[in-house]
Amino acid sequence: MKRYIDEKTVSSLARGAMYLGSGGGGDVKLMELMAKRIIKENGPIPLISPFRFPDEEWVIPVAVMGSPTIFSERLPSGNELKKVVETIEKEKNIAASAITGIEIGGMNAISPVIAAALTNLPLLDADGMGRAFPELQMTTYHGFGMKASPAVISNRPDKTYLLSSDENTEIEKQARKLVTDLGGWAAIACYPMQGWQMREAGILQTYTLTIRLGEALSADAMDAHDVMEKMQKVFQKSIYGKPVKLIEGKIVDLQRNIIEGMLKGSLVVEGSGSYIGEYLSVFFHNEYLWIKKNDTTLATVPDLICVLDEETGYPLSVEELENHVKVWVIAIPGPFLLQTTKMLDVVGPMQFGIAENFIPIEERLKLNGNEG
Amino acid sequence: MYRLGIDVGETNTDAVLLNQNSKIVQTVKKPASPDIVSGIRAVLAEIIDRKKTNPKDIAAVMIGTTHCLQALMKKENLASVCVIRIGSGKNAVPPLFEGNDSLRRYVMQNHLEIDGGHEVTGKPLGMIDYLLIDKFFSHLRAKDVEAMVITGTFSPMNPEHENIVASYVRNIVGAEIPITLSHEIGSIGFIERENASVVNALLSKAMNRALNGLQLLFKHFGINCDIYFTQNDGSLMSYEYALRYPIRTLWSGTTNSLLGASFLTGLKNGVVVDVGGSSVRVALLENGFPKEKRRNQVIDGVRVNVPMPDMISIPFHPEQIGSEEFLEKLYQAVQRFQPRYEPLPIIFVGGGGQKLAERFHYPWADVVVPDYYQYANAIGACIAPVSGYIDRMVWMDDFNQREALHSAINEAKHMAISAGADPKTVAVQEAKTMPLAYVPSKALRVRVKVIGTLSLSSKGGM
Repeated sequence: MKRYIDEKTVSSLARGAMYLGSGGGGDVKLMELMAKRIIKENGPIPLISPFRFPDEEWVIPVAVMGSPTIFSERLPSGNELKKVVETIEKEKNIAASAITGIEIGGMNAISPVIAAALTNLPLLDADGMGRAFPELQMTTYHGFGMKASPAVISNRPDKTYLLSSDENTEIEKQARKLVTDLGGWAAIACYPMQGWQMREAGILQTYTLTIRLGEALSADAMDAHDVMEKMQKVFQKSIYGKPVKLIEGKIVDLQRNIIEGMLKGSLVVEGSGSYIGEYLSVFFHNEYLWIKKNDTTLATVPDLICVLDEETGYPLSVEELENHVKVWVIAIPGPFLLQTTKMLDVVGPMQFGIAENFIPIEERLKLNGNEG
Repeated sequence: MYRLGIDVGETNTDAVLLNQNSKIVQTVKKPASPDIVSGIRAVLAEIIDRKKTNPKDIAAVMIGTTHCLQALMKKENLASVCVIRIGSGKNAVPPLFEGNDSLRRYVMQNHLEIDGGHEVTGKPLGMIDYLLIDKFFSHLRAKDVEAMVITGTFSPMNPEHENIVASYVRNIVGAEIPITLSHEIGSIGFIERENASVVNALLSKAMNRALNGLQLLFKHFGINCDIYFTQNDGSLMSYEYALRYPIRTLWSGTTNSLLGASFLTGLKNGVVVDVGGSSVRVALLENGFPKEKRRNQVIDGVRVNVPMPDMISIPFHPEQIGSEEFLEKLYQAVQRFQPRYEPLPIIFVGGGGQKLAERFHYPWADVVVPDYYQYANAIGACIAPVSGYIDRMVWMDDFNQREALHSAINEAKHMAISAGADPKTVAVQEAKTMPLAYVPSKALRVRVKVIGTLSLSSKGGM
């Protein structure tokens, strides 16, 4: 069955993608509006299965990197995303047959939709993170041996910057510096791959799942309880696992600082109801990474952590946290691909300065026994 | 000395006179009029002419009105708005893209996008091309334009380009056309700020017509004191500000009912049900003030980034009072604001408050109907505080977070005092800083709110 992304699907995709941001990934709304405008003008975009994509044909992943807040002020035109794709094609002397995602969590679920619409290419149903991460090498593309180079960056339609290096971390370094120099955000295309590579290195069918999640959450008047119930239904039958509730309560302490360009800090949730007397700490670097109860670790990256507003079930980003807000803290088991040794070397707890081995949330719950 | 609080609602215009000890000395209820002025004339005639109150004893007049909200909902007297954008992204999404057609048709399709605006650091992004502005207006039939909106990239960080373009445009369109500058309306987020500014501009015509002759009317009755309007956060603004920022009156009705309910019951926390002529509004009183909506603020389907109370509005006709279906809806709305474990008292106010409360069964908490419940909105206006509010971005090259916050607090205090607050009563209600994620930057969002009580001796006015 051939699927299309129309204006309505974009809304579902946007809603679902917020929950995969794990506290980061940026506000989806502006991207959503832009995608709707372009789809209204150019028509729906075919969403194609990675299993039906020819081995030798090329697919180009795209994203917008930088500060979502600056992005919300210095508006894009969308053509930046088209330009970076065309420049890679020219540089590698290839013709792309599809666009795909890098980061399904947050606003970058939608930037590939815009790029696909403007280049008249289909969207390949996959991404490289299965959530949001802060750096370009924190992808399964990198973990499974693909080259980010040549990467192209642009934040206005008339100018592009080409980055090349054999080291993907070097591309990240150069790109991050350039984005800051360019004013805070830029479109990027990198990791150009052929169909067979994509099938090896991508997290597949995350678009279908995210759209399904968004559709399940579309009913009005929801609270954290409804959202959790619906998330459990959708994630149970997916490459992710069943989400787990770790506490409900109130944010009683919030520390946020900018350290080397990262929003680092922690929040403490004081339990209420059946969690009364419990305290949970959640640590974040742009995204939520680590949950501790007293000295016991309950969950770590790359499993996903969401802080849900109790009243609305909305997933709070790190920037939106406020003291005294009533929240639920939940963990979603990450896709299996992120739990492999190769990926833990890139996105495991150690990579974020957390001196813990990764143990999947399901196993930790068993380990902590009746305590959790 | 008295304070005169007036609530211009959909069905009635109410007035309340409070003495210096905050005791209610008079209440008046008159049928509402399509404009604000004739309803007020009727209550003034009652208070001054019939009850022989000396107009010289009235030290301040506070007016709360839902006029703009009604104009927006009924699409009456909305201005046709011309939009100018100063910034980098051309053609991202057209103005009011999210709005429904009934609202969007008031925004002129032809809008202007020019280079300029500022970086997150506050440095200019580009030069303003005045020739483009001239050219745009030469193709525009000036008489079609009834209000203007100017939005610049990062204007909450640096409003310079918005101000420059505004004074240039002012020379072209003349003194009569209201110009809304986005940095005076909303915070970070270009589209949401522009949306809010467009709503403000749309309402400028309705507000202007409604207030036409108001000042003369008060003079006619011998009332020469300052006239204030209550705004969305429950604090007061001057007559001139109300004309310039009609968006700030949109939810003042709800806010007044909350403040009035708090005053009448002595409660600082509770769920307030305000029973009006055509709708029932439910909102939360939190530490004596309305609970603010933190996210997804929407006006008529359009996302905005202005402070507003968190509330639920349910359509209501007096004959529905016994309807199970309506009572169930009301129950659900009340439940949304109740904390999970310790339910708060529920306070009914507004014209139909007593009748509805009698039919509303809620075994888990007190249901309270205070004396004077039908005048809660006018009373809320009467006792409204004066505030100073700052929501902006700063670039911390030269000073640290604490200093940034400190100077914003001082500035907000200054705002409150110049708006008429008694300096002795000015206190910080909220003060916080929020850093930005994902880029190595020194950008910090600072949000500060201070409040104080209106000084009746002062002749301030912001």
